[in-house]
Amino acid sequence: MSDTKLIEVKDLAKHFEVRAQGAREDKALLKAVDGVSLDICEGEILGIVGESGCGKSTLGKTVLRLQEKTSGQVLYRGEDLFAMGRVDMKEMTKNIQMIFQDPYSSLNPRKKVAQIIGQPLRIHNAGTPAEQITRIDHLMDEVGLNPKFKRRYPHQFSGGQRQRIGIARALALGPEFIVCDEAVSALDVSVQAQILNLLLDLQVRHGFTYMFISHDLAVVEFIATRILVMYLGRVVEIASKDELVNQHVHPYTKALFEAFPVTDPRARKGKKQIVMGDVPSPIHPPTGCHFHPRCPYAEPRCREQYPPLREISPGHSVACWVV
Amino acid sequence: MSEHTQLELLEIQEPGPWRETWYNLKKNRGAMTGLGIIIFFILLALFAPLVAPQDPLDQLIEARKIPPMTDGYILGTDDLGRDMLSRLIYGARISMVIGIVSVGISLFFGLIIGVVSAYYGGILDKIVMRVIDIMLAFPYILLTIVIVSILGPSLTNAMIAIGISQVPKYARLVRASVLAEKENDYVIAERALGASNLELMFRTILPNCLSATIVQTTLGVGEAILSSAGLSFLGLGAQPPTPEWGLMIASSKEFITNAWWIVTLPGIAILLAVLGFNLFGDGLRDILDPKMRS
Amino acid sequence: MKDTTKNTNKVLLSMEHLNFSFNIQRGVVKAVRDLSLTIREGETLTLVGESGCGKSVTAHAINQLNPMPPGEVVSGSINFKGRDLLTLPMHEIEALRGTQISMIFQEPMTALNPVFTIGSQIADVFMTHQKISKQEGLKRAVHLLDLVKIPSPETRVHSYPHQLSGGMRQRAMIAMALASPEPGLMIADEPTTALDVTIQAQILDLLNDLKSKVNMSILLITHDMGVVAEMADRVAVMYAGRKVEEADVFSIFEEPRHPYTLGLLNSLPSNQKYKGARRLEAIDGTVPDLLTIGEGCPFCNRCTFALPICSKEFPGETVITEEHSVWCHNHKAVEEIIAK
Repeated sequence: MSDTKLIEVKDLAKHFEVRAQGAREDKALLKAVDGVSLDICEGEILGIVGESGCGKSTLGKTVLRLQEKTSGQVLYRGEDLFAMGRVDMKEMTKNIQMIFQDPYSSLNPRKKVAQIIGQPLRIHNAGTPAEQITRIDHLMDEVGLNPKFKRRYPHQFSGGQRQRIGIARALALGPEFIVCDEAVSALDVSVQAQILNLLLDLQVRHGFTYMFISHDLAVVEFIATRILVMYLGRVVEIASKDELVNQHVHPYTKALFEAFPVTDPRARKGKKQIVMGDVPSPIHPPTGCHFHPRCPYAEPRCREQYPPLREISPGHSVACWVV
Repeated sequence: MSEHTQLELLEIQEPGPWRETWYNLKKNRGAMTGLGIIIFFILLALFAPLVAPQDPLDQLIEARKIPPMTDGYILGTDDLGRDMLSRLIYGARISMVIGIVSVGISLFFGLIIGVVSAYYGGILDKIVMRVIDIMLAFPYILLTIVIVSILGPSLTNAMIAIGISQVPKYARLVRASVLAEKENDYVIAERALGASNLELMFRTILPNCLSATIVQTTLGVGEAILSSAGLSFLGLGAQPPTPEWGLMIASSKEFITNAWWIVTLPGIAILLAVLGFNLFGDGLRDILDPKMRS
Repeated sequence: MKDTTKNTNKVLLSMEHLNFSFNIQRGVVKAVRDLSLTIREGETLTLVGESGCGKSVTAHAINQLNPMPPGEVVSGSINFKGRDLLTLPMHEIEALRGTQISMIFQEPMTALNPVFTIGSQIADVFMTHQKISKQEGLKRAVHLLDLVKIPSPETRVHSYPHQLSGGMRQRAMIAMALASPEPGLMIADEPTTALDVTIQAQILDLLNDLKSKVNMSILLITHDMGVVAEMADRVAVMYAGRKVEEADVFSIFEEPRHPYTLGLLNSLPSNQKYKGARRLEAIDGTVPDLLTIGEGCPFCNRCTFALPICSKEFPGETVITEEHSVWCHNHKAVEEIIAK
């Protein structure tokens, strides 16, 4: 790991206009990502955890400019992605790639495996057709697929094998930075372990930098080097893995760790402190700190003002008035 | 890698999507009957000069209104002494061309409009959809008549009119399936790989929307044949002496009491052709619509 | 730590040698093979396994929710309170559903009727079993919603399912299951899989809480070892249609005897032994296709302990303790590994 910043996200926001449920207003603003700043250094695995609707997937897609931003900046080695023209952006796709959650919908059902993996090579005219075929075989081998199956269609593979196809496709152009959006969440545990190993092996071999998005605390805790916790579009806590796992301070982070089922029946929590209430709708988030209605430590100030993200120790920032 | 050996255990040969469709089609009796009828008419159309016993335009005044199975005329002759069988065979040629060309026109414009409108969305989509709503609000036959009257009555113009009048239907159908399909992750994935909008629209999304379109296209050919017969019957399509089925009915309707075959046989020909396409289209829908494979 | 295994309790349901198949176009899928289970009163039995292992088919075989055809009970029996469910006529099964055997699903939206308020749906359950007025039924519904900890139950009782969040819907489903006069068995099919972790914790807590209040047995279907650890009294591990190991929850986690159970535990990134590690001990390969599976142990192609006999015949039961059984030819090898 080096200190060179590969990705810098500055105050990024992505809002969607949605049809409101109530009859009075006909449009509402869903602030999926609302002022997120973060840096990712070369060789790092930044884990992003949060529950559904916290904006972690939107963040991943916006960082890669797969959708336009509302405001803010995303810098890749100091270059602003959103300031790039079409040609530059196409060049940029060689460096930044994505691995998706659903191995069923992320592969085009009408293309054979060789076409799917070879598509990035074709789009960027990488090498002669013969070189491309060699490259496809090599990529399949690298992700643990036998190249002799390259004439098959995606539906003829199991979930784990499809995920390998998706990984091979992301690898094809030799990227530096890969966003893994719930990349192992749809898989069975035993297959999930295979894919996690594969992702780590590839990182060692190619020096990738990952942004690893997941709702599964155990997976993030295992794979990440640094962890960021999101709640309703905002960063609530960010720290190195060890610090976040052992010394998390934000009440929401505490609630997440408390709620996460431990795979040890002797550690069964009995009457543990469970955070009550539902995740509020991101269309009408609570005023002030978004977590205050569920927070056992909430003060009057929490209701009025959103707490800024402040550094409490080197590399450990938290957005909370109380800590 | 160790997984190779495991993968080989899973070696089960499964067919590609097209072969699977064909396999399911073979078991659908209605679709196969329809396909048989379609192939029969297409063969007739292709080899009309070889199959037809006579020239369809040859008049023989002394052999007028000969009933079927008489004097070597298998299906009899019409009021001008032309061989009915030959006229029906040549009629197949015209009907097939009309069906395919006019559906081709609808499909070409419908696909482009539907894909572009759904892909870009926003204002463009709203405008396109309102125009299409207006077009659909016109009675279909009225719209066709208006177009033909502007272009002038002829077989070619009838094809164009039928084609244009059906564009909204295809555009809507394609738009709906593109809207559903473009939400899939594979579209985002291919965009992340640097694929251009054109590539995404026509090489990535469109092929996955074809199954619904193919069904509509098949049914559409039958409809187009029916429409062209209707237009010709009204005098807005084919002009005499073209052996067009609709025109044949129109020009002989007064003989229905004394020479039934002149009117009835072209009617049966239309019925069979349309039935063939409908049976095949319905069969295809059964196979393709429940989202292909499990 | 209380001993959760209550040997003394009466058997509520016993499944004997169930074989369940699906006859599909490409052949016969033997979804469940020779499966025997017992559920005692007041206990939580967990069926754990990965997709396609037959755990949901097993659960649906009990209240006969599997589509038949293509599904088919090839052999076996399911005794519930002295009656064989598989030979009962359909109307008696229907009478049992929702009264003595209730079910909660992964996605409650599909199980709740979208056009009725949850209050009236719960009241309906009361009214089918007892002669009470709608008014009285609604009153009891409020009480139940309160029991499952839905805030302000008096107003929520008039809500439609789509107005509730996922966690609330799951609570409403549980309330409906409790509305029957004698909730004997609750089948919970991945009840928290679609929920966020903080909500999952609430629902699991609620289920544990209710189980002690109402004398209810739970058959919990899950793929999540975390949920197993939180909820189970006893655990049956399934793989490709077979039960491979059954034990009390502590034995499963601490002294697994089947290579698959061991592999499953080793696949968990939360496993304590991975503190600081950068590699998991994954099970290689993938689950076999149920169409082409033979008579051997279904796990043999991925098993590092496999013997030549494993691919030929499925092992018989090895009883380790009264509560712990394993079906493996080479369970001794696993025992040695664990002992280290």
